Amino acid sequence: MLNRRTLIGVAAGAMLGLTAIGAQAADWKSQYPELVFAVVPSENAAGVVDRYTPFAEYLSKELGTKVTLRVANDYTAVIEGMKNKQIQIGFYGPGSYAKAYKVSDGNVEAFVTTVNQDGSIGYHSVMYVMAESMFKSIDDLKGKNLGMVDVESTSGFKAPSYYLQAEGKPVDKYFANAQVTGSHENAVIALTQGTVDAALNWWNSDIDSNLTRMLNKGMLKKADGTAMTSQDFRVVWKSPLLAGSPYAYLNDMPPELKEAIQKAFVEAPQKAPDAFAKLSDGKDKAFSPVTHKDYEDFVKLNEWLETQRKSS
Amino acid sequence: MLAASRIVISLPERRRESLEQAYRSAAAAKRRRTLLIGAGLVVGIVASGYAGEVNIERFVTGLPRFTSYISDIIPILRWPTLGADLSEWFWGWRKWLGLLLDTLLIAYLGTLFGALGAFALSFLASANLVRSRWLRISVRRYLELCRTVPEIVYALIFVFAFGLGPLPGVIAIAIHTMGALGKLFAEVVENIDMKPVEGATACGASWLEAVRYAVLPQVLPGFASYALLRFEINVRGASVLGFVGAGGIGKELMASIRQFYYGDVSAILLIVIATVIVIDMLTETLRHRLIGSMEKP
Amino acid sequence: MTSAIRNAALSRRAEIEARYPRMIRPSPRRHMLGAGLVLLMAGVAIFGLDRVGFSFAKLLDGLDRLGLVIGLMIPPSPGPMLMTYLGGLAETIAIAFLGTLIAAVLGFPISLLAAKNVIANRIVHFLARRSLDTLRGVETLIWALIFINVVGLGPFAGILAIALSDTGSFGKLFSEAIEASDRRPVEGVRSAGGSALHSIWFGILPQVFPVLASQVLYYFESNTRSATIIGIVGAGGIGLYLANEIQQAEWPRVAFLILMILVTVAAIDFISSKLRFAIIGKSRLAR
Repeated sequence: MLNRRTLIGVAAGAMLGLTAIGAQAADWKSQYPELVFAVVPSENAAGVVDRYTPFAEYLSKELGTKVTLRVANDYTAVIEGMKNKQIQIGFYGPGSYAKAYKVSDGNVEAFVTTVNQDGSIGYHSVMYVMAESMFKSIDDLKGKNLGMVDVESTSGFKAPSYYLQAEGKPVDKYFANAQVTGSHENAVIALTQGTVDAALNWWNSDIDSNLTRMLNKGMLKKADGTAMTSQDFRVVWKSPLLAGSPYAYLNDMPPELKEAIQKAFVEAPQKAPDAFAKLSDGKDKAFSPVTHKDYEDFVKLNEWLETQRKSS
Repeated sequence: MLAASRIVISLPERRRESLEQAYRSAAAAKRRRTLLIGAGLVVGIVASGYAGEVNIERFVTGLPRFTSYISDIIPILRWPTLGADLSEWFWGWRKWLGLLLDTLLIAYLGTLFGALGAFALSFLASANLVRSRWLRISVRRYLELCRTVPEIVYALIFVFAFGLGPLPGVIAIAIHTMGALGKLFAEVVENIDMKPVEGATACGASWLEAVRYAVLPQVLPGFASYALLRFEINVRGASVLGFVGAGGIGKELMASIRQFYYGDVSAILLIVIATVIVIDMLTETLRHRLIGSMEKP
Repeated sequence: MTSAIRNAALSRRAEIEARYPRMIRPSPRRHMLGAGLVLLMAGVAIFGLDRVGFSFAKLLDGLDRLGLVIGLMIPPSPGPMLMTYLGGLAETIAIAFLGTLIAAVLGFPISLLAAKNVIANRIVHFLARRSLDTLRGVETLIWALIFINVVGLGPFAGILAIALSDTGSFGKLFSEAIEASDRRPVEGVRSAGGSALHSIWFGILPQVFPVLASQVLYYFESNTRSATIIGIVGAGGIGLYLANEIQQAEWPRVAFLILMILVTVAAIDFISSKLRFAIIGKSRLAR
């Protein structure tokens, strides 16, 4: 019966309910006074801090708790950090995410990935040579030196290992030396310095790749001091489309916190367009929600790599 | 006892006071010095703790992780399946032993060439053999330069110059060893008995001949002893040069750690530790023999 | 050159050879051992050079490139990174300082266990010595990698890495010094009614303290050098910047960093030598 008492009762109940939910939401804030957000430099450390700081500030404001940006040496450090729960949000490649998932016994979950300007999701691994070199295709590179990125890099090691093997060119046998250079940038620098004959890198499109970012920053110069252009490089191999690099959080955090994080990311292009654009030099369009299922292929890829290792 | 105390009391006042004062000021001076060192240490600790981001809380929470890491990397060995478990743990033993051989060779070649270089330069750096002060000092400074730059820094630069593989590692160890041994060899040379040298020169020997016949027999055991010590140190150093691509087992260790292949980490670590211990023992026995032979007249 | 003296000396050769045959012609056995050893070492060297892929062409090529690199290093310059590098240097010294200190504190009690004249039990002695050897045997860089997993990236991991590997070194050195110490003060304390701890504190410690302090100071300098490179794996200090700049081929900065390291090590060496001389010198005077 709708009388004043019921109304007051319902209102009181609703208020209690809201405060309970609010209290629970506030609960996670007291549990997590600080969220550590770890990214790996696909460029040198200072550049990454520059790139991600505005976004970290946006997240702090949006989530209401301090979001600390931490630049890790490599994916291994992020994986280890999330395993030890010292890092709550991490940015991975698909392969390193799958490794993080396994190492943390499933406590790491992907929640968004980036959408390219043309609406597509995902990227490629490419192999560069210097345009002036005599290597016209990957067949010319037999017995030469290859620069990889890092053992946990998808575009810089895992995916090429898999696809090149399928093409009959297993990386450790086809090339004389396949060495890790430490980062995508280092791989390109090693290529320009002649330390390696070919380098692996990530690539979204001709106007959006690690190489274009380095060229735009003027990082690559010829011996005479003039800046290099994309004409100085040639792509001799490209992988099939790889799943988009995911951001992942710890699974055992409160659901409200996880939802809030995902929401903050997805709404970023609208709520903080400059901070969002800075992440990718304006080349990304949005964040798209993902789940672990989208990366099961990479869990299998890691298993394949492990068995490969033991049989070689 | 009573007699002693009576003697103390019967000291003239002034004398006793001056003695007491001397004692007190000496004790006070010592206390002040201890306090100063203590204060210096405390300041040093606090400043270093700040600069070094020391966080006791992080350490305490991290401590169980140390043990959990150790348990992570050691695989489960069951008695009934021991053979199979062991062969699975050490699945890569052929590859790893090959890399271990590379590591030992890098250490050997680096020590050998470094010792040869040090051998040549040490005579030029000895005060008792070379009169030109300028020459001695420049050789000494050069050796110091070679010695101070850490091997792995040399390795990083040489990998860039010579390419990947064990060769830059050998050169890096050789140069660093030349610096380290050069100094030690020079000290050995400076401590020799000069009489044979004087005797040889008195018979008309040239500088080179005097070195060959009078100096060499005296210094060789000492040189060999230091070279063996250096070889042991270099085996340990060579095991990590692979981290930067300069060959040896370090690259595998690094790759295993980075990719969380826990079993491989412990397997390789055990191989490295066992090797170091064996080389340790071997070089120690050899060195005892050499030092023993040195003490013979 | 006085060939007259030379000829005079050499003319007596037959006579001397008759009187001291063993000196002039050592036994053929020794000759063969010596020659055999040299052959063996040369053989291993040749095998090794082949296995590491040595060739004079490669050597010359590399030296060429090295020459280029060294040329590009002049003049050394930090670019815009001076403050960052100085911060890294402070971190490095802090890592060396704390690491050495902790190792000394940890190493001392273990060294007592490893000293034959403190603990008579052979098993304890053996175990202590072996565990010290194991700590020493693992290279500092490897400890750094392990501690990064324990306390995360950063200088703290470096401090712990140096502390642990040095505990092994100090344990061994301290125990050797303790074993070499004079028994009489220990016996004196015991006969005056002191306990085992008293005998250590009043009997052994004052004797060995100068030697211990001297070794700690020596290792502080050596650890400064180690601390400069553990940054390469991410354990703090200037090593990270050094590795980065080498990989990015920024040679003037590399040269500047190396110079910084040289200057710092020289300074610490100087201070350490002065302090060591003060300690050892004083103790010698005390005797």
